[in-house]
Amino acid sequence: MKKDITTKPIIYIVDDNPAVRDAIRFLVQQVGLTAKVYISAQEFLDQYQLGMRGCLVLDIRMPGLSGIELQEKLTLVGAHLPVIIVTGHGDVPITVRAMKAGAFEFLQKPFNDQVLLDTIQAALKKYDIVWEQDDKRSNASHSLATLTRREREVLELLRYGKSNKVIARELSLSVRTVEGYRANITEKLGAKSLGQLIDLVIKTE
Amino acid sequence: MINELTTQIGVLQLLGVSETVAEQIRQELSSTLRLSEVQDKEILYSRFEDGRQPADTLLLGIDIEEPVRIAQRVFTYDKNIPIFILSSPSRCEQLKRTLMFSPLLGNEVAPWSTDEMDALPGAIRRAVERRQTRMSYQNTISKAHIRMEKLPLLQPEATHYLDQLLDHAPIGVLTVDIEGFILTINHQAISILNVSEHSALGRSIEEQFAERERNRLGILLQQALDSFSKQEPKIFEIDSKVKGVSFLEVTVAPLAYRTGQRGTMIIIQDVTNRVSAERERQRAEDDLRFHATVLSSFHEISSNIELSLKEKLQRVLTLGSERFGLPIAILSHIVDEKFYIQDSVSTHPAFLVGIVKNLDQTYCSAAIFSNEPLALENVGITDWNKHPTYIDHKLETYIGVRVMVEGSLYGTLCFASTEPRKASFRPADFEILKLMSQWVGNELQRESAGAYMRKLSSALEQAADAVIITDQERRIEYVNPAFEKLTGYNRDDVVGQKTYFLRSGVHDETFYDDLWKSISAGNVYRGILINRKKNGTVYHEQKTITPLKDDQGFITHFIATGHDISELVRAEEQDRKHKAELAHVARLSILGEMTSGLAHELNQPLCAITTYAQTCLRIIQSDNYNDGDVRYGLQQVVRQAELGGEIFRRLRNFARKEEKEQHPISLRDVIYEVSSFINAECKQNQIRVRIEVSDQLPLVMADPIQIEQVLINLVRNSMDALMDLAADNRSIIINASRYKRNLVRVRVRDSGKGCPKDVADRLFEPFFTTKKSGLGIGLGISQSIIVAHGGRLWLESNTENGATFCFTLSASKNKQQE
Repeated sequence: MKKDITTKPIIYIVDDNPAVRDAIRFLVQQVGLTAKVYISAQEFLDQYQLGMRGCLVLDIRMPGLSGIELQEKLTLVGAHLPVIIVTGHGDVPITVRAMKAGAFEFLQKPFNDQVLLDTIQAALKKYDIVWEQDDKRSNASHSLATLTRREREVLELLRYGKSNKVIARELSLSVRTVEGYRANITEKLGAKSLGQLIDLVIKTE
Repeated sequence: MINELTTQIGVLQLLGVSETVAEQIRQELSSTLRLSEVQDKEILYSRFEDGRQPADTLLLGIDIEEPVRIAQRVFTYDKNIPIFILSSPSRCEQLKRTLMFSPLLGNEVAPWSTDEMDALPGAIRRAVERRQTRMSYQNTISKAHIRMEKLPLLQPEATHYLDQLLDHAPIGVLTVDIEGFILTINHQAISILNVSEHSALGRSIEEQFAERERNRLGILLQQALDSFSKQEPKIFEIDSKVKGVSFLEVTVAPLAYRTGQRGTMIIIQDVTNRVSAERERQRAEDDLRFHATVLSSFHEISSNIELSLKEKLQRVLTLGSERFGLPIAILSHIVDEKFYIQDSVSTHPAFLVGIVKNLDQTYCSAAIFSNEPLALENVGITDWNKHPTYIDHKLETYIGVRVMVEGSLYGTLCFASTEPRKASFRPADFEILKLMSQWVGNELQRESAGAYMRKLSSALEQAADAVIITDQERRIEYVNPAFEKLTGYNRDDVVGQKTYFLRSGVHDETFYDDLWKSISAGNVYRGILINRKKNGTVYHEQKTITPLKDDQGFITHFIATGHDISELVRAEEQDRKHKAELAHVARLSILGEMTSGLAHELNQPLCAITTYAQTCLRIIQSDNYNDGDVRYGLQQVVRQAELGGEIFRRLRNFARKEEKEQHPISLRDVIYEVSSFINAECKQNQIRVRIEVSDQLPLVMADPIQIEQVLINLVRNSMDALMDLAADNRSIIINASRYKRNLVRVRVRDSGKGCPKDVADRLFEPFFTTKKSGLGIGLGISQSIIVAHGGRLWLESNTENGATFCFTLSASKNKQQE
């Protein structure tokens, strides 16, 4: 149950080269960001949790699980984490593959400190919105989980634009009871209108 | 009657002899003679008159007057007394003449010159002995006369006695009449002649003898009758019908019977043994003479330096042929059961030089098993008449012996004839034949040794290799023409010198000391010496120095042989250079292939440096400047810069062209160096590399860069083999461990699927490659590098679980690593 997700973003640095890893950590910490270092893609993957906020600074070529593979796995699990690829190899096929997999940016070593920092900031800024939505969706789905079976059935029929009367007939309830459920649903989900209610349901899908 | 002599010791009477002379005689003769001295002749006369026998010899002194008259007077008393008259040499001659005309005096009166005084005592002693013998004869004769007077009384006993004597005597006695008919015969004669008494008596003696001897016997009998005297014994040969007796000695003496008839007594004695012995002795003497003649002929032949061996052999065969009286003479050479007639003096068509027979077709086949000669006589009447040689050639007589050369059978020396032999071969023949065989053997051996020596020395002279023979002090005794040609020094320049002049100065004193110590200890040296020619040119010589030892094992000489291998050395140098160049090209090629990985490798510290430095700048410019952070950043910058430098060093090293001498290196260091090299590439390809280096790994003799090159090659091949696998399964293990006794083995194992058979077969071919890029020289060069290091590189295992390449290097004799 994660509730307060609006914590400070963390810069996750994954590079098998200790010097590069440490240099990036040194840099980002210098500008007041929080950094976490991982010596391999696997190590990061092992510790990854959905909803982690921040930015992944990832070296592409590493023994074992490669940077690209990690990125693809993250995409697969629906992680909303911007990935900044840093690599010594500017080879086109890998760049294309990384960008296709949704990499935020691609930086070639050695990089300019400002460029890296700007990229990180840009990524964080862009993903702020995503994360906000994520939060909302997350809240909605949490609310949905609090509905009773009857309330969920009522909500489902409401979603298809059916009136209280129709719903009451289909569920063999009195219109009054349906109205009662509807009031409960609206309250539990914090929706001000029917439109908001439906919007919420769609978001969680 | 004559007076009996009673004196055992003779008496020498001296008359007027000086004391000096008397003393001299006394000293010499006192043991046999008694000396009696008188000075007056009248006293001497009176003693003779007395009848007392006063002396056996008389010596008259030099001063006696009228010695001849005195002698005459003494002779009237005793006719037999020897008289010596001492006189001066001049008077002595005069006396001799006087005595010649004095018929009264016999030879027993002798003047004696004073210059022969030394011989006088001897002459006196002999005169005394003569006189005494004469006196004793007279004594015996007088006694015989007495017995003769008594004889008629004694006769019957005497006859019987004589008969007895004759019968038992070891000699045969016969009497025959004048016609030669046997009158008496004793037992011994009967036995000797093998007749009966009855059949013998009255028969002619001549019948007892062989036909051919009768004439001689008749003559002998006649001579005895004619001469009235006994004849010298003669030897007669008796017919073989007389058992066991072959020779008789016959003595014939004339007889006169009282009847007036005449006849002869024949004494016979079996002297077969004596005659045989005599003949044997004669034969032995002949043998000896034969031996001696043959020996001297041998000597003549063998010492004749003008004769070739061929001629000598020919002469020896002729000699033997003549000596043995056998017309066929052969020296054979026996090889593999074949009998080659090498020399021959025969005219017999079957025994000419060059004819080859099967050994078993010859009598010689029976002679080759012993040093003793084989002799065959009258083969036709012996078992040998079934022998092929007899059947084919009717060889009746054979004598042969084997010829040994250097202890092994060479052939045979044999003589033969188609005629049967009259007399047996004698021991001397055997000895001669053995001697001949030995001589022939020795000659052949010497010839072959001589030929060998000639061959040897000609080999030395003509050898392509330079040969130096030195004494044990390294002074040159001989160099061959090849040496002269190689070095430019003449034989005369260098004989007697030590070999120092050949030194080029490349080797140090210790080198020569070690070499000298080694060969002086009796070891053969083999190695390459760098020497200098007369014209100053330095050359490489492949040298072998062999110590020569005498029978006692002491080194007497050294033989050094060698040839110029400068060309070879140059070619090898060239070859090595080419290989090195090729290896270098291959290294550059590897570097080219590794560029991407290496760039990445170098990029890491560069990136880190940039980032640290930029951050430091940022800190310096920022408000919250922090000393500690800046120091930290700069420290990291320095570290990373050094790391980058290290990578550059490694690269430069690897790309270097010139090679290093092989020296003891740590394989562990090499492997870790290689690991750093390939690190980037492995990372790029997600390959795990494990390194296993066993403890106590010895150092190896090697050029580290070349070994790195080999390892990198192998590892990169393994990488290629892994690219088809899932990233998780890509691994390479580099393993180094002790192998066998003095080796270190390095293995590079990958987890790939192995390499296909057709590829595996061609792995080491140059320019064979399965890669898109690359020269295809990697493995070939790797192999030649390892081979040049005295090791081996091979594909140890190749299965679907991976391939393992292996190479070995020799452990250095230096201490172990770690």
